[in-house]
Amino acid sequence: MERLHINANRKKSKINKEIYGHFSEHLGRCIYEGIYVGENSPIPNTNGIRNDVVEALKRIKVPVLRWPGGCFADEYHWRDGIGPKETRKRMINTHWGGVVEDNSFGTHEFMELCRQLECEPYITGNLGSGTVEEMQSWVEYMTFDGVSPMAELRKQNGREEPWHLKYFGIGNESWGCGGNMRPEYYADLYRRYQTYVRNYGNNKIYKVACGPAGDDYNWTEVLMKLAGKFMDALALHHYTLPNDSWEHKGSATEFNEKDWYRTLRKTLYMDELVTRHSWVMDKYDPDKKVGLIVDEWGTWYDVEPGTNPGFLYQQNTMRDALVAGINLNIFNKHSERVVMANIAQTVNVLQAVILTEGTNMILTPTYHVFDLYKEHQDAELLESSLTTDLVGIEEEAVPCLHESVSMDKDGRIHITICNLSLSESRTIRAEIAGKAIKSVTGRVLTGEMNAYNTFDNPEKVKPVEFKNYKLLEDGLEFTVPACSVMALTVE
Amino acid sequence: MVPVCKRCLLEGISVTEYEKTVQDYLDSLPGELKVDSQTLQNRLTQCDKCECLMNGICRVCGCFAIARAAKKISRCPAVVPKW
Repeated sequence: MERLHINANRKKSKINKEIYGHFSEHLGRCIYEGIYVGENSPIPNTNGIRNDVVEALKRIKVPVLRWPGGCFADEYHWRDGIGPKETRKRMINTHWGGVVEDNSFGTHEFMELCRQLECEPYITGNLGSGTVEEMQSWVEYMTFDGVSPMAELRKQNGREEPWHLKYFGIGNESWGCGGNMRPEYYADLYRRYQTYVRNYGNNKIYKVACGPAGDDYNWTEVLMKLAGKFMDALALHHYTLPNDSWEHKGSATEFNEKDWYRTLRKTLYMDELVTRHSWVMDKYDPDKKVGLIVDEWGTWYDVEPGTNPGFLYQQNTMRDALVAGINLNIFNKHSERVVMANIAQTVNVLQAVILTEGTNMILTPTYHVFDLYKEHQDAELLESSLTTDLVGIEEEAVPCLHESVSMDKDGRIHITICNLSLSESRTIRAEIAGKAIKSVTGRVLTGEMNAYNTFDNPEKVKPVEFKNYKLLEDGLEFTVPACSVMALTVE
Repeated sequence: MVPVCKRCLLEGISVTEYEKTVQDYLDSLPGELKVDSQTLQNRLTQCDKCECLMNGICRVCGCFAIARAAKKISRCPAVVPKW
């Protein structure tokens, strides 16, 4: 019997709803086909945006959406994506697998998508190949309330009122595709560019600096030292690959038990990354005014056989569900510093929550985890601890259980638990201090390790109601099945 | 492991490697899963006329058209299927 201790009197930090954020890039079939099909498409749409995808994303309460990249952002020139669609620049991007970029999805269309989703836009500006003037004028175009050349241009293009824009990234992966810069050079460029990212009227921009790749703690150190006082947040990127090779990352669906445990061990590394980057940030920002944003995370496998390598299309199994559950628990537990996270990517690319094919759409196991965890959004993280043993194969041992607990504004407690074991269930006695229990509801997502949904069998993996718990005087007792993600709500 | 961005990862892929990827995939398919050569030709003829075909890739599903058309269980992913 494992023991879960929850202290309802000890609220540690607010879990920003933005931790449950998403990322949509002009890559493969994420934006085009996955989200945007155009007004004339036979696929049901509103202003060109797929109705089925919007409805599904609204159900998991997507709080924030990052766009247009990714690597694409540092080659994106926003003026190409405004004005009459028939006059917008059209090109075939051979680097990205022959994708036609006709710029039919631009600033106005992205803001329309965010309006339909009722989420915050998070736009990444072009620092790598764009000018300061270009970045400054984009923000002016979107947010200036009054008379100015950019506001007039926006009005000519059909938008009278400025948009509300909070989150703005100053470049992306500037250590790589965003310019191959050294941290010292980027820090200076960041300071320069952000100077001209201005607040107009009541709009207040939250400025996000390009952060490190994985364990590059020196990048964080240099950025915090040289530019920390000019930023609201620093963005970390880290992906989970089953293998240690970018050329042979591993299959999304064909894997064995050792691969399972290795993948989960590698995804647990996110905890160390967030912890150590936070330590570096603490040195320069002990009051935690600067947030850490993990705006690209998730699994990255070899693409599905027979698909374009440039499209980064991969299937999504129970293994991805566990990866999602573990990472979201980690972000919850670090919500004092982690203020936003954006899974890569929303539709059809990498660890997608939705896959589409023509008129068809399926929800992945990862989608269902976001659904199970959505009650954590804007709740308060509670102090909790859980006893657990190690499971796994040889050097790939991982903790069997992984949890986070929060309390929402109505006093309900939300417990999310992952069972990483492929073969063993675990019975847990949960003791809750500071709250009398009236009732419990729950759902669980479980299945074979490589179970996944297809267009022919779209509901093979989906959550089911969980009732197998016993109320005790000071808590409850329940059994978490092997290979599962569970969410309980205690009232 | 050295961090790699998406762009760097893809820049190294040559046309030859793309073609090899497709051929390797076709070779890996068991014969009983493949359509006969006439059916494959008929399907690809329809693909050739389709506006969703770009550089041998179907924009609707992201597959190499020949890889998708070669399988018995496949269907054309277009809203109005061509085959």
